[in-house]
Amino acid sequence: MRQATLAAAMGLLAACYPGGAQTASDLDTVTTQHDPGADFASIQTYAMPSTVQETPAAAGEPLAIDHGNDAAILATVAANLNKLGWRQVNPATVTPDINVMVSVTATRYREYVAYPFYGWYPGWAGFTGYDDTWSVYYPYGGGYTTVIDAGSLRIEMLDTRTPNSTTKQLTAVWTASLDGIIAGSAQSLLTRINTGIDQAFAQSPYL
Amino acid sequence: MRSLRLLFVVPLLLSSAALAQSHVRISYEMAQPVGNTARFIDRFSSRGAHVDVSLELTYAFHFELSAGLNSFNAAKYGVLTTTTGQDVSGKQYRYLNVVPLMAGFAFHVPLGGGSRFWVGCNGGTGYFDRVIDLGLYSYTANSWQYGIQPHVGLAIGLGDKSGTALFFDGRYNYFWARQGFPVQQYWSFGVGLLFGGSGKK
Repeated sequence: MRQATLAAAMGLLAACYPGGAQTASDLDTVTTQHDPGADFASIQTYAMPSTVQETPAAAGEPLAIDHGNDAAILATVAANLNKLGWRQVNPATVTPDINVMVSVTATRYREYVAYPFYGWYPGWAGFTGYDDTWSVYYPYGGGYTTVIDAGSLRIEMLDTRTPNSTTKQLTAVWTASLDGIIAGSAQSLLTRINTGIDQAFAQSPYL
Repeated sequence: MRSLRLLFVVPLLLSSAALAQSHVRISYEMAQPVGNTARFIDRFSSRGAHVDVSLELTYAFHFELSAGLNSFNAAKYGVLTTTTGQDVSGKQYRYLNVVPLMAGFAFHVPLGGGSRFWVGCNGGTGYFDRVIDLGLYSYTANSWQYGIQPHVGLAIGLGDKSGTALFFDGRYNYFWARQGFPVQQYWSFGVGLLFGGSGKK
C-alpha cells in the first residue's frame, strides 16, 4: 500500500513537470554578460588570434577536443563582429580597440552514488540485520549513475583602451558562453555552435 | 485538548445547521491562462483537479471550501535575464503549478431530480510554483498571492437516491500582485461528480 501511495505521489509530481528536452540541442544555451559601463559605441577595431584555445573545467575529466572546426568557428565570430561595423586589424601593425578571444572546454562529468540498498527493499529478508544507515562500498570505484559530456565555447572581448597597470588587468567588457551537451557528428556540432554564436550577438543589442 | 474538542464541535454544529443539499464536488479541471499568466505560459492546460465542499447554511445559500491544482507547461525559445544580470537564451521548458485554496459563498438553485445550478464567489490564496528549465540549469520562483474565484456550475442528477450528479463548472481565477509578482489570471473549466446532493428530495 505504501509503495502504491508513493508511486501515485511520484506520478502526480511527474504530471506537474511533463515534457522536457528531446534532443541534445534542446539543452543548448547561450549566456551573455557585459560591462554596463563599457563604451561599445566607440569601438572601431578588433583583433582576434587565429586559434581557439582550450581551457580546463574546474571539475570533471577533460575530453579531447577536435580542432577541425576552429577556422569555421572563428569565421562566424568575425562575421558577426564585422556586421557591427568593426574592422579586424593585425595587432602587429595597428593597436585594436578590443581583443577577442575564443576558447573551448569539453568535460566529462560523472555523478557517483552509493545506493542505500536497504531503503530500496525495506523489510526484505535478504537484508535482515541491516538498516538504512548502511550503504554500498565499491572497491573498484564504480557505482556512478550519471555521465554527461558537456562542452562550452566562450567568446570574450578585452578592452585594450582601458588597461589597469596597477592591478595589471584588462577589463572584459563582453562575454558569451555557449553551453551544451556534446553529442552528434562534428558537422552537427558546428551547426549548433554557429547558431549559438549568431544568437550571442543577436541577444546583445547594446554592442 | 479544549481546542481539539472545539475542532470537532464546530463541524457538528455546522452539520446540524446544514441541510440535505450539502455536498462534495470532485472535478477534473482544464484551464486557459490569460494576462500575465499567459505571457509566462500561453498554452491551454489539460491537467488539473479540484475538490469543493459545499455546506448549505440556509435554503440555497451555501458556504464553500475549495482546493485544487492547475498545472500549466509550455516550451518556447527566448532570452531570460537572471537576477545576476546574465542574458540566457535557449529552449525554455516553463512550468507553472497553481494551488488555489479558497472559501466563499454560493447560491444553489435546485432544478429537481438532483440537478442544480449555482453561482458563487470564493476568496483566498493561491500558491504559485514557477520553474524554467533552460539547458542544464533550472530557475525557480514561488509566491503566495491573494485572489478571488467567481464560479458557476450546472449539475445533472444521475437519478440515484444518494444524490450523485454529473456537473460542469467554470471559474475565473484572479490573483493580485504581491511581492514583485504580477497579477495572475486564468479561466478554468471542470467536469466532475457531485456527491451527497438531494437526489432523495
